[in-house]
Amino acid sequence: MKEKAGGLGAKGRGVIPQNLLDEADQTLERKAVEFHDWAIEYLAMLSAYCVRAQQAHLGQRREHFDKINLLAHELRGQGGIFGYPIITTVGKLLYNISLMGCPTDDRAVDIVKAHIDTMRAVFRDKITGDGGETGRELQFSLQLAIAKYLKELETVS
Amino acid sequence: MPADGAYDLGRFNILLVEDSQYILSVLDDLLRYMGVGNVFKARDGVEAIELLKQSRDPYGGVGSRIDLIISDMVMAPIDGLVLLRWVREGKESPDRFLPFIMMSGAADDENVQKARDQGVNEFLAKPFSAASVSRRILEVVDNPRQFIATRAYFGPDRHRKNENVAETERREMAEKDTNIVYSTDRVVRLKDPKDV
Repeated sequence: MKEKAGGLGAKGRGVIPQNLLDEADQTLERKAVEFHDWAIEYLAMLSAYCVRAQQAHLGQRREHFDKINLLAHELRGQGGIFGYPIITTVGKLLYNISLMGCPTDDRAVDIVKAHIDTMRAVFRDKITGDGGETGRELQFSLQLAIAKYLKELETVS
Repeated sequence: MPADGAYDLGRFNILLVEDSQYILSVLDDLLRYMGVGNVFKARDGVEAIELLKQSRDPYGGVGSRIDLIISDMVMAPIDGLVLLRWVREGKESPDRFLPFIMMSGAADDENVQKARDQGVNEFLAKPFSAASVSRRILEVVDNPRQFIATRAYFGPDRHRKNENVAETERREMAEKDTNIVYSTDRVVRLKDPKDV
């Protein structure tokens, strides 16, 4: 591979020209606009699975949580690529809280909904980067809700 | 090599495997802007295996031309780990030494370890950037690792440096239990070809 990239007899470490990397970064910035539309679709699906989980019997909620987990995984991986690191952060939290083995009771559904509402606010108000004061407040509110939920879990167990 | 050390990836053939249509198109664009000559795309492990199997075509299928695979880890029905195991161990794999970069939004220690244990070359965490993608590709190009075969593992040496595995491996194995099957800096004769 080295000789394919660097020519016959290539030795030492090589680099990819900075101008090419800059152009590649610019394409990510351009794609951020499309990502917003894709993300709204993901959110719509998340909301739908959340409603189905709410309406299902306790023993039948796992499949909806699995789908929520997959979508959280996607958003977690994609948010930061397109300038929405808060989505990556919240996506990771939602991923952890919806993993196989996690509770699926009404409190769990409520906390999932809190995550979705946070992400919806981020996209609605186009809160990119760290989001400043607004971004911090959103994340803080979610963290409070999660802390309360985890404390209730401890009390029950 | 050009005087400034700049690589030209124009002759590279990279197979992208990703079930998100959107990320697949983003990565495709990213690689092309970085100068990669040919980007092949598969929407999941099943499509990727079909593409790679074409290398068995004596008239030169796609698989025989692939230089590097970049694959998402979480996909269905065949995920990145199963695809990697097929590349490393499958009878119909076109090249068991094929460089493989695993990608995932869940870059937890557990997942990274799983990928390492299946024989991955590099792990790329999402969210990625042009810089992080290029760093992983350059690591594969600049630091090809020797391949190791044991009864439980075939793949790149999981130690970053080319050390004598038997001396530093934490598990209790003797040198007779390991085979270095490929090393860029020395020719290796297998102790027993049946072990690979």
